[in-house]
Amino acid sequence: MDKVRSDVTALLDRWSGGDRDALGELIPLIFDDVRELARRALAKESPAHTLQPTALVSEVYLRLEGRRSVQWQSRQQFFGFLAQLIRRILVDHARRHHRRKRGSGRKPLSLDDVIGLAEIRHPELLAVDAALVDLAKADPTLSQIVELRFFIGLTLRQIASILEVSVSTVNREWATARMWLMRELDHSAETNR
Amino acid sequence: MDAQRWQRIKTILDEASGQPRDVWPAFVAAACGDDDELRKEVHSLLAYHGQEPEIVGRPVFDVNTEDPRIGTRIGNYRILRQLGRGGMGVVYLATREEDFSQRVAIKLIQRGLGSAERIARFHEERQILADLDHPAIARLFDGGTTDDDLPFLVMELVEGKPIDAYCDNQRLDVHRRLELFRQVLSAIQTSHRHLVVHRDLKPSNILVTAEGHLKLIDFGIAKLLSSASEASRPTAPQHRQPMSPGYASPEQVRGERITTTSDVYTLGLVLCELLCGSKPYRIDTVDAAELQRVICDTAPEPPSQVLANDLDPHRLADMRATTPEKLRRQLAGELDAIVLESLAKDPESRYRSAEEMSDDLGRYLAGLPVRALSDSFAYRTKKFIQRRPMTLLATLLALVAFAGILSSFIQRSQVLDQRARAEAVEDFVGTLFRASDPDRAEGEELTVRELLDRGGDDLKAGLDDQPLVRAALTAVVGRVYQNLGNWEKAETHLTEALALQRRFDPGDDATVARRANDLAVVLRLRGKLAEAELLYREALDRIGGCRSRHPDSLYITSNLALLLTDTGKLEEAEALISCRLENRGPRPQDAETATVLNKLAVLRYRQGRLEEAAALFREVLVIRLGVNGREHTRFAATLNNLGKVYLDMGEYEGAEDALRLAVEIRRKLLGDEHPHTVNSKGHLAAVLAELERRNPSPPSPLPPRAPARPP
Repeated sequence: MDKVRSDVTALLDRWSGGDRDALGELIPLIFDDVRELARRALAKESPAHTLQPTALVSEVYLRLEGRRSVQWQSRQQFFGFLAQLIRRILVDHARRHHRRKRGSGRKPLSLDDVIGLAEIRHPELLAVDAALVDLAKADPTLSQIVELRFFIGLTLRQIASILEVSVSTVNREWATARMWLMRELDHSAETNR
Repeated sequence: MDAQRWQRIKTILDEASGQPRDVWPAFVAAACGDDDELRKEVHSLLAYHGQEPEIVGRPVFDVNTEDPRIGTRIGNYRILRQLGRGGMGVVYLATREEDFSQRVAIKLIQRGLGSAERIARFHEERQILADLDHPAIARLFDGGTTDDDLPFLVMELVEGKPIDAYCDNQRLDVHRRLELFRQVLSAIQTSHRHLVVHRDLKPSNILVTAEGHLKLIDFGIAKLLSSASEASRPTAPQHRQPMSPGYASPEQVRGERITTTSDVYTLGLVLCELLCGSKPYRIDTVDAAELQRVICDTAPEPPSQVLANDLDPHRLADMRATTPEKLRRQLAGELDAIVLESLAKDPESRYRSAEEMSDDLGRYLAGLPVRALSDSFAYRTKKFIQRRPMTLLATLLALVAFAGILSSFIQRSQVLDQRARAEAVEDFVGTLFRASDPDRAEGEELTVRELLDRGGDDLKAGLDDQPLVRAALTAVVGRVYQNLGNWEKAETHLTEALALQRRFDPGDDATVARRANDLAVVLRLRGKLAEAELLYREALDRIGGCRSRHPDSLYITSNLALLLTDTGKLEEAEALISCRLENRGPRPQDAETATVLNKLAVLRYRQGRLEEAAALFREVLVIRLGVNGREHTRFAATLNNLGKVYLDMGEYEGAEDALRLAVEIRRKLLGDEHPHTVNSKGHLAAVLAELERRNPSPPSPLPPRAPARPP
């Protein structure tokens, strides 16, 4: 346990010191934490104190966002935070992976090795991220549903319970979101050629 | 995007989603009133309605997965993570214990096998699948049972996109789609020879890797698994086999015996989607009885018709690198027939095998008559003459002399409007004459020339009462002359064609534009620049300018731009070309792009921006090598141009390489005396003289010599 703890601290320090690869090594640890946090917060009882991130997750989030502190009033906010964290990390990593691949440097750690996100899905990941920027302006709720579904894999039922709306509402919203995303992705696929 | 407007869009989408597809257009039109933008927006979204996306549907990270098997061993493999989950089990990514670099997919079946007899059968079937050896079939490496007695299969790991998504993303045209699809058929044929039926074909089981290799996955797995897990449990027939309802054959939904022709049926559905974007019937139900009714009783629509019903045919056509009208014409006839033959409800009426289906597609690709249409006499005749252009041309010219064939063709085509008739004739005759294009028929163009000289005038006799048809024919003859390098005769014919068109149907802008453009091309070649420019401008004007989506607009725009550079109007030329390039967005690697880039390169050359010109020509060269191959006049033309630019830049070695190859190809395709060949030889001579002057060494003879490589 202590061994793990000090490894993480070292990684965090390396990362702060500008070693971007350190994030790649942190990712599996972060993801384990996020999984555990989600499991606790999803549990029926889930009292308020479960909405506490682990030290690692909040540390990473603070460094990524450059904020001072993180606090949540509701499960909706909390899961929104988790999804955004994952989104930030994955997008960041996918971008850097591709930049690096184009250069002649050593092969960077791919997300495939880390969390099993095949490289073939990187463009999709980046396209969804970009599409969500627009969607969030017009329809923040819809954009959050996509985040919760696409970035942390919550089921539509889980999303309904977190947003405190009916499952059929989420179903309908997700159907709309899919149409919208598919269209945006098609367009971005066309313009990337 | 405006939030209020988006809410309105959402409301309409929600309401439309609750109604059957065929009332959407009317419903949306009513809901949007005269707000055209809104209507377009809604339709562009509805086009994706109900599609279960391969992408987006699957999260990139999933907090819910907590699979105890991850990190453990199955057989000699260590489980790394889940790849997916299906009705039959879970698929894992795994590596070999002794060699971590070797990654495989492991399918773990969730139910035990039970009896010893069933375990034996599982292993037997597994062995049959393991023997399937085809580059496009993902290998089954191994299999066995876990410590807790669950059967598993170890398979080649394939990372790729479903074939339909791949084709769309790459914007493959119909021919390339068919070629890829025939590879699928070849793999299926191999498996059928081993008496293995896939049983669960669908685009998501037909993958194309990033390198463009085809891989079929889950071969025969459905049967293997059902034999393993169902056995002694007699159930309602329709539940006996796991299947994907969207791709099930009539016998499959009825629970009848499944044979190799069941795969043929499913392949017909996949082909239909590849060609026109949707299935030939709609499956909006999960109800078993309803499903059976749709699959067993609904007559499938031919792909050309499915396309016509699509809400957004432009998008579909665009993903096939063509226009809706051209796509429809391409599908109508042979391809419709091939798809429908494979979709016969009665297995006996289908192609008997994947091989037969592949043969028929091969015949279509080669311009031979397809079996699916073989009972139509008119069809076979047309194919016969298309296939033997030389014989046909003789026949045609003789026949036309007493004006028989055309009028009968016209009657048979049942087109009453003369304008449409002229178009039909031009299409028809155009395909016949295309063989005289040096890129198509090698070495026989002299015969065509003789025939033309002898018969070209007779061709028009007897058509006095059909001036537009006559105009169309005259234009075809003119273009053939132009292809053959006889520009004087080409001008005569094309001038007449344009005059006829102007006199008898001046309101048909598109056709007048085409005739004007045809003539202008020849006028420019003959140095009559001012006349050519006027005609190009008229043509472009008639089809709506450089941004027009008309199929001919690219051609006309770039022709005009090139001519403007001839006459020193460089700024206008550049404006035209950038207008066109902007219009097309980033550059796809297709013939159209090559044409525009080529003109732009010529423009840069004229402006003296040689480096830029050379870079553009190199880009064109790469595209054309991919699109046309080496033995093609266009490829040779680009080589010639690049060689000339290098010559002017003083890059004599590069120039020599390019020009030697250009001369070699042009000689072969066009002959020694063709003006283009002479032109390349002239440039090459200049290069060699220059090299000789700088470095007087033993003279290197003019070709033949070892063929040079393109730079």
